[in-house]
Amino acid sequence: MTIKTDLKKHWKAGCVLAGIVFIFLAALFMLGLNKLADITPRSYSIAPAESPPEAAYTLSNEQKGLLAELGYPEAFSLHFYQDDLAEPLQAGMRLEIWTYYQAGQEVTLLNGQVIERVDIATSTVIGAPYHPEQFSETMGADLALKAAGLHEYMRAPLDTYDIPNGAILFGRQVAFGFQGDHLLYVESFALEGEQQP
Amino acid sequence: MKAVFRKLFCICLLAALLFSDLTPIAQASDAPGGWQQSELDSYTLMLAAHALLGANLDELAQNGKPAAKQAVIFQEASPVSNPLEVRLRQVEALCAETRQSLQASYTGAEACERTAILEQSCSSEINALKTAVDRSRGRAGVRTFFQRLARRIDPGRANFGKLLRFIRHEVLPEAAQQIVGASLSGSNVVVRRVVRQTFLRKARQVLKANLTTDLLMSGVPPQTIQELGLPAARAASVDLSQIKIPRSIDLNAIREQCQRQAGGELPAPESQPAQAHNGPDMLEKWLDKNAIYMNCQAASYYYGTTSVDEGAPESFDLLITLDLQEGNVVYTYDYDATWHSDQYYENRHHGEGKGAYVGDGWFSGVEQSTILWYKYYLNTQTGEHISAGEEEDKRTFKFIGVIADDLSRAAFCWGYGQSNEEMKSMGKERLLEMCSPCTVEVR
Repeated sequence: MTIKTDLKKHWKAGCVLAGIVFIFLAALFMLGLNKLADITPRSYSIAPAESPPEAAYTLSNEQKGLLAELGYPEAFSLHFYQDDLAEPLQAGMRLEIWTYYQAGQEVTLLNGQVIERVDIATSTVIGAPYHPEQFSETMGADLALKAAGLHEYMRAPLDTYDIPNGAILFGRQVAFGFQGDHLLYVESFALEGEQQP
Repeated sequence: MKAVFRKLFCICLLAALLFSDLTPIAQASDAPGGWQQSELDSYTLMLAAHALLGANLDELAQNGKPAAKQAVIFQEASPVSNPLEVRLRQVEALCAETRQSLQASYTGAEACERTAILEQSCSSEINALKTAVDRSRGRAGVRTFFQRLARRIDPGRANFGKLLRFIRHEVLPEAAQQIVGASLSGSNVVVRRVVRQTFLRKARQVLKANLTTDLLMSGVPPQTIQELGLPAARAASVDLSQIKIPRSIDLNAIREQCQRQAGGELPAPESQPAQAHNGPDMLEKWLDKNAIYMNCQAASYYYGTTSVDEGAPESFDLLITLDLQEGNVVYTYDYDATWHSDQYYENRHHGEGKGAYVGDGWFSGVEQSTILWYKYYLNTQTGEHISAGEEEDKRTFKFIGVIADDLSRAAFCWGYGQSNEEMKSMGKERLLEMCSPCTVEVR
């Protein structure tokens, strides 16, 4: 009788233990899947915006002068950050690099003021279908995608080793860099063209 | 029961410890006073974006190349066709054409061997292309691409280290130069701004959109690639040198099988005389000699590149032996190439060429070469080499050579895009002028 009772007890304890081990392993598996999902790029489709949004940024006079002189750049990159050396402390900065491949010019602007203008090799390109004033640092991902008029994009999350909560969004000839829901970087890509036969 | 509870407690504790270890304790950019958008984070995002687009940050050092130069889009007047299918058709046609050409040029065991190698190489290439075409018709291609992208995206493992290396070796030295230069000329400089400008200038040279090949070979349809704003693949023409000879080919087995098939009826390649074509040959009168030795100044792997200006050799000594009794052509070479541009290079080249005399002073064959790439940054103060180590690159080239009718000179060519027949159609004199010159000795 005693042996039977002991066996029954052990059998119950064994079941409880097996159940716990199973739950533990399942939790680990889910955690692994979650980690994998965190670093796996995915493609998304969104409904197109009904009307193109208005300009999110007002061009400076110098920028308007550049437009009159060279037109819109064929490619550009924008960097949004806070400069702790500037006055007042932690001022918001908008660094823009406008690239004119056909004109062989590259202009760097900080908060709308030209700070560098260099000659580059000229080349024939297909310009990106975006303008710098379409984007501003206040944009979240939804707004940036809407501003670019994207229907499809790829989102590549970056894990926490490099950029905490960082993510890159790729669309047609454009990339956005986000940290959390803060837009830090926009780049439009010009492509080299070939003469039609 | 106590023991069970103790075990339960231990398991829960272990799980709690494990989970707490995997959860980040704090986010670095969560500043106490709110969110701070770091300048470096913005640049890092840009570099990560470029890295995902296929950029190799080591290539940041390539000065003077506008980014868009790297992104090539080829617009076709005709509706977009699947370039994989185009390439498949080209490879099939090329294989059929080469098969016919081999059957016309060679006989017996030699024809058998060459055809067997061709069949295996073509079969391997065609199967790989068919798989890619099949993928492109389904959704698997996109999945494969995402898997590749996911593997590439691990910044903790690679990108961050590259970024730091890039800043240390490319940005800071140039920025320091500018700062010193500006200070000497009496200008006011803001160090941080100079570093930033230099960083951006260098970073802009990253390759932009070199992703197409990866996408294409993952089977992503070309239309999807174009929709992403990436370059569409060009329907490039294919030549035989682009078809890789699979490593699995067992040359000895092929040779044995072909010899068995020949069954003594046809001469084995080892006993084939130099005169492999019909009619009298210019080498006929030299058949009492052993071999023709050609000392060539062969064009190096770097011929015509800017690496030559930076110290890489333009040519190297190459001894080619044409066995007059067997008709075989063989050569082996080794040379080192060292030069210094953005980095230091110490490459080692080894090549082995095997071919045959095809008559009327022409010979051709295939070269298998290996390049051991060793590039490094040099710490000039300590002499330390900063390098990821050696990389091995194996290549296959076809070669063709021609001997002047009076045996006064010869020429050797490799790495050309045309077929051997096209090269021959240029004529002996043209090739003797155009290709690497050789002196000739008959012994």
